[in-house]
Amino acid sequence: MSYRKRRGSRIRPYTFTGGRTRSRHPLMVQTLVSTADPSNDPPAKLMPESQRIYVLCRETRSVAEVSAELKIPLGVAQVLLSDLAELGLVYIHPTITGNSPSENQVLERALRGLERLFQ
Amino acid sequence: MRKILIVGAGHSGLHLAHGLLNHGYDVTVITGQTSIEIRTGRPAVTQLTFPTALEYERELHLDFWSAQAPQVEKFKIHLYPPGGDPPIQLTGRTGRADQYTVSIDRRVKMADWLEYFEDSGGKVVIHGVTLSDLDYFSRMFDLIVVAVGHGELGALFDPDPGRFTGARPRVVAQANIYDVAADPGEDETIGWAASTAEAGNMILTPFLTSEGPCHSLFLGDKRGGPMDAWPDRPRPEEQWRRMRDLLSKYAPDYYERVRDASLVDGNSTLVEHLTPQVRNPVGVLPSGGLVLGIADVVITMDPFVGQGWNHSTRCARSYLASIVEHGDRPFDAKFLTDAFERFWEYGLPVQHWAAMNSGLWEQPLPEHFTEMLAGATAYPEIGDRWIQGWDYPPDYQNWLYDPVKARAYIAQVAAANKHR
Repeated sequence: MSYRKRRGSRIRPYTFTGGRTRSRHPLMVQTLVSTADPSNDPPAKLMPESQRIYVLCRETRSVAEVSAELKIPLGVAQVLLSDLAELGLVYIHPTITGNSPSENQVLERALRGLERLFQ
Repeated sequence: MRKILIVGAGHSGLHLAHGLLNHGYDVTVITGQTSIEIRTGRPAVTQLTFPTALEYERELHLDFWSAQAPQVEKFKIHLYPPGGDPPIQLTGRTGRADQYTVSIDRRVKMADWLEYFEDSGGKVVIHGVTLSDLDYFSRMFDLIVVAVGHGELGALFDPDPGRFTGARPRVVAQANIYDVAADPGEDETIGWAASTAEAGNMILTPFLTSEGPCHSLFLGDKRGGPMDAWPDRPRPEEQWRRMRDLLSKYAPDYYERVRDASLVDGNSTLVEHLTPQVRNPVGVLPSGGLVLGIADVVITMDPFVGQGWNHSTRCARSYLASIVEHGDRPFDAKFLTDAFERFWEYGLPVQHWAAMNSGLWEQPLPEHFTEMLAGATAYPEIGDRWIQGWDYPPDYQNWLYDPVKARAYIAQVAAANKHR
């Protein structure tokens, strides 16, 4: 009888420690995205939809807004945005998911928001 | 670089995604659940990773758990005949002397594979995919592989009754448990599997969850059979109580091992209904674009035979080879059909074996089958070959089904043992 409940027998989830190049920011409906360099024109080699996203996201938008504004299905918008982020053309803002290990981030964002309101 | 979209982050989809990434493809996985949601979500039907599938995972650096998981070197089979007689038993190794089988909680394995895929440079998009999404995607990607069989996407793949006729609707009840009593005289890592004439099948296997090693107990029966005891969706403790009751009636040896066991914390039980079938592997989108279904999108295995992940690994590996060998040529209808037919050369004999197991007690056991069981008791190599057939079920057609081949094999083993 050896497989029994034991403290400390929990297995550690996979973690990649050797040189991850980007943090994992999942693209959710509410995730904010913005063009990395808003003063540039979209690269001509992009698909037309991606060019429109590039232009639209010169101001920060949520994934849902991008989809609604450009009338493309939500899943398609997410895939196009993920490709643009891979190319370094679009920046994906960290989303507070509630699962974040550092809830300080949430508090800091709230604090910054309050500061802006009263400036 | 060819762009490939994989819809669904299940066992086959992620195995293929990692394989393609290793070959330099631009791979996007789109799935409805984040890795955290997979990790903390509901359990799935327990699956086994046999030695060859484990080797395939290691080639892609996907075996993260062998060091922590119970290493199942042997399995024991119990066949409970009608009338409550004691079971016929058979024991064998799951692989060669240096090999073993593992069983890992899907929530651990899929969550880790998804995160590792993203860290390796794969793109992950969290979104439940609709048909209109897919229509759009068919212009953006060179190939779309669909690896989720439920919802509106499942409807893309029509049932193909011509492929297989042994379908029996099944109900599965399962529990992850601690404190299972040892099988006297055997290693703690031994797995057990039973087939009963009066109810369905049982599998009791050492298992690795996020809480550490435990056992997973599976009871499968036909819909409406004596072990379909869950119409009122009982709560976990009540389900577990009924599972033990059923074992005491239909598989008393199993009851003796689990009578003092208790449920693992958290989500540790499930009840699931499924109907084994084979579907058309090529789906046509409203705009005319084509998508390829993989593994359980196309083939729902009878859960009695524990082949779910073996099938999905072998299907992913077969598709990977077809895709890579196809080079830069377009992924047209002929390619998609051929890719499935290539896998089906393996899949069809597995269906024959599943059909034999599914209907084992519908007629008296054939004489050569009983002789083989006696042979397995006398000669360990027969028991080994029997159990190792789970790793590669097409081997059974070489020695088990046909009376002439079966008797020739027993005679050959007997002669070899006489000269030893």
